[in-house]
Amino acid sequence: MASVVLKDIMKKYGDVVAVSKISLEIKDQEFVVLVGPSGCGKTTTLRMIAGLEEIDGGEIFIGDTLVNDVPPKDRDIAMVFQNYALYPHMDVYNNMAFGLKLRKFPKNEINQRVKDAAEILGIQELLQRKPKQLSGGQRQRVAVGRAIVRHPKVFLFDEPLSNLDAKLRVQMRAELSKLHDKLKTTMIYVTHDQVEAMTMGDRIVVMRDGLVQQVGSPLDLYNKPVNKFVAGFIGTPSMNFLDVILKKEGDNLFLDGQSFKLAIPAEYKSTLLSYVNQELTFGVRPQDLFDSTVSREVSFHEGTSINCTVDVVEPLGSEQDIYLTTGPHTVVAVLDMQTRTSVGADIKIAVDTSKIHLFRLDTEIAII
Amino acid sequence: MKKTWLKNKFAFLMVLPALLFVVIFMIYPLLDAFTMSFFDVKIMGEKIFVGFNNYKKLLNHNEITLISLKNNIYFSLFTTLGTVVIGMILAILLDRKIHGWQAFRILFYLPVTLSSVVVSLLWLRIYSPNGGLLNVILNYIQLPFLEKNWLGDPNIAIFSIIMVSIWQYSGYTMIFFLAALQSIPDSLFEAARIDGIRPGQEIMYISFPLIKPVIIIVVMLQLIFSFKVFDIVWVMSTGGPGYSSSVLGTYLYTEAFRKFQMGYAQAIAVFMFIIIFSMSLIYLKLARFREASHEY
Repeated sequence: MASVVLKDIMKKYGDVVAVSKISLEIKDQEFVVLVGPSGCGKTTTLRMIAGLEEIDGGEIFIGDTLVNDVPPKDRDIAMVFQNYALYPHMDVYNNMAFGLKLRKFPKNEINQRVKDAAEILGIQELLQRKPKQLSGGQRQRVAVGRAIVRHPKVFLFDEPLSNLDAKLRVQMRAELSKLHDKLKTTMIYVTHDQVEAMTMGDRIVVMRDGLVQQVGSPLDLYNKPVNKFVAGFIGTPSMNFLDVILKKEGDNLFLDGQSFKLAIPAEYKSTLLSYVNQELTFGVRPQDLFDSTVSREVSFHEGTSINCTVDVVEPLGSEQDIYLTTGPHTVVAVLDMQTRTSVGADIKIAVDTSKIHLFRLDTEIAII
Repeated sequence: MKKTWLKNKFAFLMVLPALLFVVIFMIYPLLDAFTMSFFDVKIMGEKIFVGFNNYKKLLNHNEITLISLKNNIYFSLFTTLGTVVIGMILAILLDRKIHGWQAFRILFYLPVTLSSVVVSLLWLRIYSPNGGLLNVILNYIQLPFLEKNWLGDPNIAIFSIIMVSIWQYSGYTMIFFLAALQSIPDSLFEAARIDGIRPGQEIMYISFPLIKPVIIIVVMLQLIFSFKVFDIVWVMSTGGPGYSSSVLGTYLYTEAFRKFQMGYAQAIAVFMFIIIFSMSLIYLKLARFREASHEY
């Protein structure tokens, strides 16, 4: 077990900067998820920690050891690959035992470790099978087993669930979280799926274009995104963004969105005064929008609702995603099934203004 | 039931032209050769049934058969060994994506594209005892004692020809091995690096086991292919000096078109067919094994 520290690490491919001076401290036993869209540098960062990519600048520490020039085999890490990377010519037992054999562990210890790992993962019956005789989920377990038997200081996961079907992915997500609780080992997990990130990580690192956008707990990222990118990336459906002008009438601030006027709660007034008459991006999560005629979730006041027209209705069983238009804006709302509406109908949508977000138009940095 | 029959009938009609082609141009000549091997066929077409006499002559203490068969076996084994080993080394080097590897790949494959006759003529000049490049080089690098009459010495003539065959076909095996090596996902090597493999060990633990099915198939193909050798030997030595570099192919040709012993030549052909057919059966069995090989 060990902490992992990244100090200003950089990676370039020719003129393209894949990872740009990332600094990060991952505590011992922590489960950290690197998340971001394709090409954001998350996998490159993980591979640099593993030693599979040389770094072009900065320092990586595993525990107290600077590992910049340490080969992967001596970093005391284990990695689970996206395609599992099981050795096709070896059976499950030998796939798991291979690393230990190379390290010249005694035979009885190899047996014991493989047996223990197989028991933890419920794959005792599969030990004599070749990878091609296994299902996707079983292969995934074997890949994790191969990592477990080594008792490494750090586990690295590179999108290990992306090749599984949706149902299995949910199941394996829970199993990996349980495994972390059991093993109490530092885990660094890369995914492009924000749901995986939210449900598994102690902390999440959101990346974009080789830069860290925000590091925080899942709820921190959800409730207090530092910029428009994080706000839009975390949460399903994505946060709604509407261009508005902040205006002041008397003592009150409100957002003018051409087709609606939204009162700003008094608590934000001091923060927002300097932005009066400026164009801003107003962000609101689909879950913070309600049908004003049926909702009892929040008490609404004058100036906290928007008149919309229904474009698309997507019933999901427990709730429904309603795609709406208001003036030049399109908005998604997650409403409960009590709301009866149809395409083309007018609907008054109430906004929980205590949970709204405002971003600067130029820098996209969050103001509230 | 009727529908199935109709479907089958249609399928049969579709393959009928190909089937006829095979029967006319493969099965019939084969059977004809087999039949002819029991006759003494005169040049004017007169045929006398001689039973197994041609086979007795071929197999009963016939020194030329023995020399030819031995040379065939040498040719097959050493050409296969040479092309597989050199092809593998070249493939491993090219797989490392050394600078300009694509150019090297073309360069190494180039001899394969040449006609065997062209290659033979080229090497005839290189092997020439009168100012041939090989002897000149050996002399230049102070190894004159290695200078030989490469094709004129009955003890080494067949081996000199084998060297040419290895030179020509190493690129052929290299392409198979390179394709097999490049189909191994990088992630397997990366997983092995994390597992603790040392540089160089990956060839033994990962590459070889994974391309083993391809190696087996290439070895079998090369054995079969080289057993049929004729042109290169004929152009370079016509099986000589004497019969020292004779192979079954050149022996057959000599008997058929020099001595006009058509019946006897057909017996040699049948003998070769039986050997190559047996090797092909092994190949087909192994090819099925290949189909059931690794998935990544």
